[in-house]
Amino acid sequence: MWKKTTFSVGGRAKPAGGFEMYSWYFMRISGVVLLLMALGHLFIMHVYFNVDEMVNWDGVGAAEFVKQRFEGIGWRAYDFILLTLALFHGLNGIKWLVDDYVHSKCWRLFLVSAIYTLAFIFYVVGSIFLFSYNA
Amino acid sequence: MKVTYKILRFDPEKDKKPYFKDYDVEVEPTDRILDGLNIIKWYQDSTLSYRRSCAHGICGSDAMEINGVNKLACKVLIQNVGSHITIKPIRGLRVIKDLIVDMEPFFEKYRSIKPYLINDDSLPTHERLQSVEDREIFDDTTKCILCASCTSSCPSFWWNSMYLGPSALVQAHRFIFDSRDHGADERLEIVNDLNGIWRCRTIFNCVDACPREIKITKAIEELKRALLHKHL
Repeated sequence: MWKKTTFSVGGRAKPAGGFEMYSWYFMRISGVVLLLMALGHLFIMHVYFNVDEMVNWDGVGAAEFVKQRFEGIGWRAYDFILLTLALFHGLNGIKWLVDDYVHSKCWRLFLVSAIYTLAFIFYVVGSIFLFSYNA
Repeated sequence: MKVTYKILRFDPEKDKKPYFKDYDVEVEPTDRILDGLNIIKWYQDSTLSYRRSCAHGICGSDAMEINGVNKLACKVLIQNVGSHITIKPIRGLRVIKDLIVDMEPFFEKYRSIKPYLINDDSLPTHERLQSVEDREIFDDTTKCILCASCTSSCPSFWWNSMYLGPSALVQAHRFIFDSRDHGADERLEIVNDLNGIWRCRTIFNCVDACPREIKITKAIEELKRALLHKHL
């Protein structure tokens, strides 16, 4: 016989807006911005300045280039925005996969916690590097 | 012409698992898939079970997977699918017998979006009039016949049966954008759920499957935007 599902729609009061709506909107906006920023990054690193040619056998040329870039706040801000959007866009995508495929409550809790923990660790490590790098 | 129907059979009282059975049928090229099924049922094997009612693409009873795509058996001509026809029940819903599935979970979701006029104004003395432009906004989604072709072709629904599914969202669209209805806010909050509109991954299977050619993904997108405009 048909077993009633624990269908959640309409079953409980939800906060106005809700996380899922903002998460969907974030994916749209970050996707467009990331595309432009990634193309910008590609152009600057491999077309306008060619980092591949700068690197000598011990990598000193490229290190010098990074040092010059990080002397001002502009490039640090660019890279920080790139880090923020890429990290959360990617991890939110993985969370969507978990939402779709993982139905067990325990596994969901574990995997979503792991995603948030990873996001936090990567974000902190990336930010510390970006802002504490001494040019 | 002679065609072969390869039908996925399953009787839960007798069979451990579903199996394919072939039937050779003599039909006209302009016959419909349903006509061939009727020939099998009436003259070859009366144990074959399937739903059909109006047989003219209106009642939505005979949705089934025909050569890998959800269609209404009464709307597809045999000449358009060839001489080898593979038929399975629509996916994501429990099979009761052969091509008959349990539609209750589907209708449960349909009922959850309150598919009726919500308007607390005092009763008018004449019809509730509507401009042509106002009708145009939701005209496409009024065409839904609740056949479940879209919902049962949606991978998001296969993965998670708690997802509302495209059909219920199309019905929500039909009422939310109706100028005579006052329940838009209520319905928008019902579909604003992880298992509601945000489970749609824009896969477009629903659009391919819809026998009424409703632009389902467009309707769902309009709902997402309506929610966004409401809250931002």
